[in-house]
Amino acid sequence: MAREICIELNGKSSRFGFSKISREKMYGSKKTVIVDSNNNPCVRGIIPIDGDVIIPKGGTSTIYINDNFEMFSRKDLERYDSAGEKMEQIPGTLNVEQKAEIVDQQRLLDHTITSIYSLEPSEIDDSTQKELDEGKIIETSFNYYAGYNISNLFIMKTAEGIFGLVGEPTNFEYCSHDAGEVVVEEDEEEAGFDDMDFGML
Amino acid sequence: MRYIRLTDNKKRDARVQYISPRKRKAGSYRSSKGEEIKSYRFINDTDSYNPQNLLALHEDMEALAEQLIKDDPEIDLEKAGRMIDYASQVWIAEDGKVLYSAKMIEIVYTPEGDVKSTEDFEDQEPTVMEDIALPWTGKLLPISAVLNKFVLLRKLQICHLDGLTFDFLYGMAKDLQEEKSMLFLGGGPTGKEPLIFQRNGTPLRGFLEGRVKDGSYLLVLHLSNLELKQVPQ
Repeated sequence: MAREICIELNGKSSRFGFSKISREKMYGSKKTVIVDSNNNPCVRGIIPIDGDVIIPKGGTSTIYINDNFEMFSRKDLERYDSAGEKMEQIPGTLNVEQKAEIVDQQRLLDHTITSIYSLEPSEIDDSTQKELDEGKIIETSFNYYAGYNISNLFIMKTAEGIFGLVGEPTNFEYCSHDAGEVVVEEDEEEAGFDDMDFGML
Repeated sequence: MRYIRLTDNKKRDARVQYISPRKRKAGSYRSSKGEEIKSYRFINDTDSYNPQNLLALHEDMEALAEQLIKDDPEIDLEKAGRMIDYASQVWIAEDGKVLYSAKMIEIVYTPEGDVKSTEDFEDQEPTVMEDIALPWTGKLLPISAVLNKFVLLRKLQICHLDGLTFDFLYGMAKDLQEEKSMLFLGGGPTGKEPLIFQRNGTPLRGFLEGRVKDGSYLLVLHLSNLELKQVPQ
């Protein structure tokens, strides 16, 4: 069964097939290549600080070990957040119906976009279609693979078709400026030129 | 701190700072017993023992196969398994020697993946610097039109440095909110170039969005290098 994005908006289900949109597919791409004096391409390598060996690309492995140098497979490890709390793995959302809601433009503006998909509805509810036709933005949860973080998916329709934009919140906060309280000593008598002591300068 | 010089609709310019969205804090791994686990990089292959070099050393593949089974020449027993801490990046030529003088070429590919052109690489200088005042282009685009036409991939928040620049940016954000629009922002002194934030950085188009609330403001520079449209099949 092909993988689909499945949503439930106001109790009504819709399903979308999807294909990734990238800059490379749309406009082409540029690649910088390092060449030797004969214009032959070179490969990247590393030299450790000892300088006694050249390690070609792919010549290193990352290994997970404890303080006793016992080795662990990554799949046997548990993830903890920066506060020391154990994180639970979140399953992938494809082919699993996700709750969706209508959101305003600002919600989309408050996200950086990490992936874009062209969506093709395989089954769409009339009311969901109507919301998209009216230019509304639908937000749902999205996780391509099982992982520890979940992203937000914004579904919208333009003259070009239906698109899904995967985003991460920016968490920008409003800026204010507080210069602090200005301390002014209140004298009983109004200060005049005579009170200015030039001698102490 | 990174700075940008912006100009408002009264042609006044000011140096302000920009910040990127905060990244998710990286977590850590632990074993099922709760032990802290760290990741380390180890050598598993060295250049002189890699398959290409072994193939070049042996004309008779049968003999090489024999040797692979008997002596394990593909494993550098002295170096494999050694932990790597700090390392320098180098470029290795076809003959296996380290390159001391590198030349860069730029290959341009079509959307189909064919090579369109090959040229010598030239450095691309930034168009956003603190001493270049990016002009107020006056090109105001409705927010919904921008959202329907471009993919706003990256975001930078523009922030004030002092009381004067607070008033400057607050006014700019308030004007943009009242217009319900975004300002198209270009790079260089004329504003006609793409925005490039560092040498050889990605060229981007900028759209400035402003909001005000309870005496505070939010000014965000949305950056895009992609139109929201279908890829031709």
